[in-house]
Amino acid sequence: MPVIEINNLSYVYNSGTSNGKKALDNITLSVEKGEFLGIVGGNGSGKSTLIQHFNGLLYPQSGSISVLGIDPRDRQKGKELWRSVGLVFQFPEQQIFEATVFEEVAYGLNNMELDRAEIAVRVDEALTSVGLIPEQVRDLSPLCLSGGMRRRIAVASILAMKPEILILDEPTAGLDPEGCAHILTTVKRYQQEQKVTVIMVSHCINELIILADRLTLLDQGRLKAWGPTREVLERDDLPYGDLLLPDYMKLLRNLKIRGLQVNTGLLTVEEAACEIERLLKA
Amino acid sequence: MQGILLSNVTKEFTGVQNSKTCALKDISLHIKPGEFVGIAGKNGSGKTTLARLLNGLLLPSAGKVTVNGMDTRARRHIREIRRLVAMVFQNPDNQLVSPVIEEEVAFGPENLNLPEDEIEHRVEKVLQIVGLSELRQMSPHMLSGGQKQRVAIAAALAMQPDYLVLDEPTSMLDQSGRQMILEYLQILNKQQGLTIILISHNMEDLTGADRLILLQEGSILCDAPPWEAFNRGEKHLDLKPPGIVLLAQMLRKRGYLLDKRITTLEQMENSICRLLRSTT
Repeated sequence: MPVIEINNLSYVYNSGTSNGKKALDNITLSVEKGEFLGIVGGNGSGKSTLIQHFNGLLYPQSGSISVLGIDPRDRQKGKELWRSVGLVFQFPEQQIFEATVFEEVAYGLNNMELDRAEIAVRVDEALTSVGLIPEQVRDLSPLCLSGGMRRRIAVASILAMKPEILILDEPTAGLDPEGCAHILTTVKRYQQEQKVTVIMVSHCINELIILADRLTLLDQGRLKAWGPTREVLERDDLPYGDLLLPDYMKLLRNLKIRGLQVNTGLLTVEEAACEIERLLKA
Repeated sequence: MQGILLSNVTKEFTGVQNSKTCALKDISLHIKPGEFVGIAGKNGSGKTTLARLLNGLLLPSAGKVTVNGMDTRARRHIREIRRLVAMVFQNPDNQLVSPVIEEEVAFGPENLNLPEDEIEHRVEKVLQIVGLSELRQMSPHMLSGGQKQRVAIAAALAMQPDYLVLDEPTSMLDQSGRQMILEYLQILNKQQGLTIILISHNMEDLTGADRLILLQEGSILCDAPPWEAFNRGEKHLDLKPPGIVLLAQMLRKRGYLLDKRITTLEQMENSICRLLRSTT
């Protein structure tokens, strides 16, 4: 059952002026309940513009969108989406403003008008799920924590709201490999345990190929591919797909271009090694 | 002595309640003119501190840093040191200040009190090097992340430095922007003889370096050519080697003879083709 359905969605920034820039061009897409959808594309491909439609931050200029059966433009019901769709922005640690970690994570919960006891439980749960020990960090000022820790707190403050759909915009940008791995495991575990839908945007395909059930590839506002991860990777006709791929995947493609019988729909270095061994033995 | 020389450098920071954090511990290092040096390490390993010591933005708590023989602690040398050692930071938005690209690039040379036509000559030349000549009248804010990073590099080059230090210049960029920057750095290093010091988390950025310095908790864990550093085994490396190196290691374990120096896609592709030919 789809939780998000988009039909012929287009969006132009500065529309009607000479600076008009088409950010989304006739996108049709749906997101299934409980799936992990990866959205990839270069800088300026429209990734961030697309996801801001999912909780009504942007309204479609043409085409339609339905999220959990609600049209975000609906004056009555549209507002409910901020509770059920959690959006973690790029560099979310830059928007932390409360004096303590507890208050920061509780911010959305206060707005949901939950009682104090429930809020305390949810804050602790959320901090635990991002790998922090609530007793240790609850009363600290977010300012005295490292960038990686602040990122986790920003993610926790969204998880605490228990959204049905969790959207993350470049959640690992600027983190070191350990910080990246930490965020990615948190998100994957949350998706599996809570059976929620996760949509993750990244310009780094490496992290998405392992996590995502399906991939969407955007290029200059257009939807170039959308399907199960392996199927998208097997295709040879994708626009600067090569530039987005890790080197071991490019290697398989280059060998195929040289006329060898190579399966390019492989996800990991291990799989690539097996495929090359098969070639060498043949 | 030519080059940048660090002798037994320690850098401490004072935190809350006078607690001391030691960011670098007793580092000795010689960066020779014309080298391409890669620096890697986890967050908190001291990479950025090291970069900032190279042009006197930070001064050592103990030990000495000299640039072409000039001590960074000597006030009379600091202007010359800053001109010789140019810096490009992680996020170009933090260092771009002018409303027009050509003004941004001219900013540094203007502060050197150079004649007008010399400034114009330099601006034209560096914008050509980074491929932004046609956009010189535009505002940097209208550019993509990769283009902005190239403006920051152009502004640094306009000072005609001997050394270019880049602190994670690719972490904000997509693959095509990243590749473009890395290619420019190779050209600047190989054709113009500029010394490059490149800091990155991403090992794939560093495969083109002559030397890879790996920092761990403020100390140098390894200083070797990239292929050697990558092949020292996971236990010595805090960071994951590039996918191509891992692939080569796996194939070697399965008994295929592949050159230990392989770090790039091109080298790997050639080696595999050679193996294929020899088996048929």
